[in-house]
Amino acid sequence: MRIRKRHAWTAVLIGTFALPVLQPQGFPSLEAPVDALLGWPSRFELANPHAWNAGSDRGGGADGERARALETIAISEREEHFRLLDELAQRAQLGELLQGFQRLPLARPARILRAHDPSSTRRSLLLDRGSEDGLEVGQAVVQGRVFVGTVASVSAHTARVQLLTDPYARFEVAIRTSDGTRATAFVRGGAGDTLPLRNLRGAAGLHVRPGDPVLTSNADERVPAGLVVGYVVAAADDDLDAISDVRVRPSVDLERSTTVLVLVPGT
Amino acid sequence: MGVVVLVAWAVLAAAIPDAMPAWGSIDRHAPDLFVAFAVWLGVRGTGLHVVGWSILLGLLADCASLDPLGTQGFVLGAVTLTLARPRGDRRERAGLGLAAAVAGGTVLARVLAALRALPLHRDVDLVGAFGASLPTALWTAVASWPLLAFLDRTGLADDLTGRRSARAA
Repeated sequence: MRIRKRHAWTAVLIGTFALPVLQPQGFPSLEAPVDALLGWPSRFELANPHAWNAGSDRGGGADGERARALETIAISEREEHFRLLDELAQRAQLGELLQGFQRLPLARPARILRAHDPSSTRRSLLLDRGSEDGLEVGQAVVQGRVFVGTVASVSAHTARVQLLTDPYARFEVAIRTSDGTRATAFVRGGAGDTLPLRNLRGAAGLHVRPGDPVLTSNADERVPAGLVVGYVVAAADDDLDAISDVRVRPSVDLERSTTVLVLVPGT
Repeated sequence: MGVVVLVAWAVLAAAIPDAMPAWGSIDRHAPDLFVAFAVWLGVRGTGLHVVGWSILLGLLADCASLDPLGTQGFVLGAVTLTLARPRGDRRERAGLGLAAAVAGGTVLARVLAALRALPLHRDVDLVGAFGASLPTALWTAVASWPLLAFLDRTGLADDLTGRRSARAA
């Protein structure tokens, strides 16, 4: 009887093993609402650890309830002030970048509810905006002019963003060398501080050097070209036909703010 | 009550990586409370039915993650199945024994997750996954110790493990 039960559970496990193979995109209509439900407590600042780490200094020392209450108000107001300044700065940077675009995307600010994926092998964000705010799968998420990632799934009031650094992320990027040559490649996410560039073809005059900027390319209409992805930190011998070992340090730094901008197509 | 504890645990486990400090790279190897609960179910369970609860917890983890549905469901279910004891086996791990089981379960979960990713992603680094699992295992064992001790002491999730019905019998 015991053996039969173990076999039954093994069969169930084989089923769960097969599920993501048969349906690699998952079941967004089922998963997104549960994700929103599990992330719901983070809408309150006290239950949003990212907001504690990203901004506020909660050092106390004041005596009395009134002083503590005032201190709390001051901290919240200060945080709101810096959040708005950050949002304005991000909008200004983005506005500079998008000058000349005929059909400007709307930059919709979204608060970060969760900055880490519960799975230690994945990298994602949970935002407090969803399909009711116009968010759709594939839209670009930026921090000023820095590319953060793309929307991976959306529920009515939340969205999950696949970060540039997610090990299974793959984005087409353009590298601009110091002598002005442009080449395209793919950047793959990974667990380390730096990300590998793939499929960068060595061309005549292409000399990749540490410090060269890596930007988004124009491969995806929902991701504007020219957003900063990062900088080259290491490049192998560029005499080869194909430059195989270029490492990029991503510019995204989620600790410096509690909001990001989602680029929603303009009308 | 057990199901409420399971869902509350899932909410906590999804939030805990954000609360970890950057000091000592703890935020990069944040405690995995999903695995800790799956190990606890396996160690404290009075039968194989606990595998079902682990799979459910894994499915909740999948919903709160980029992983497609079934990824953590398989991993946590397999971890619990490995540790689950047949009905009648009364040996119990406590204290350091439980912490060691949590650490071992975390390493097993990471390796299983990497193996699980092979059919979908060809360039999976199994050695790297094993190496990265060691600090995660340490922090998971440390962070889950007081929480699991609380569950043991209060018996809040005993109806999931089957200990409540075993006591009544």
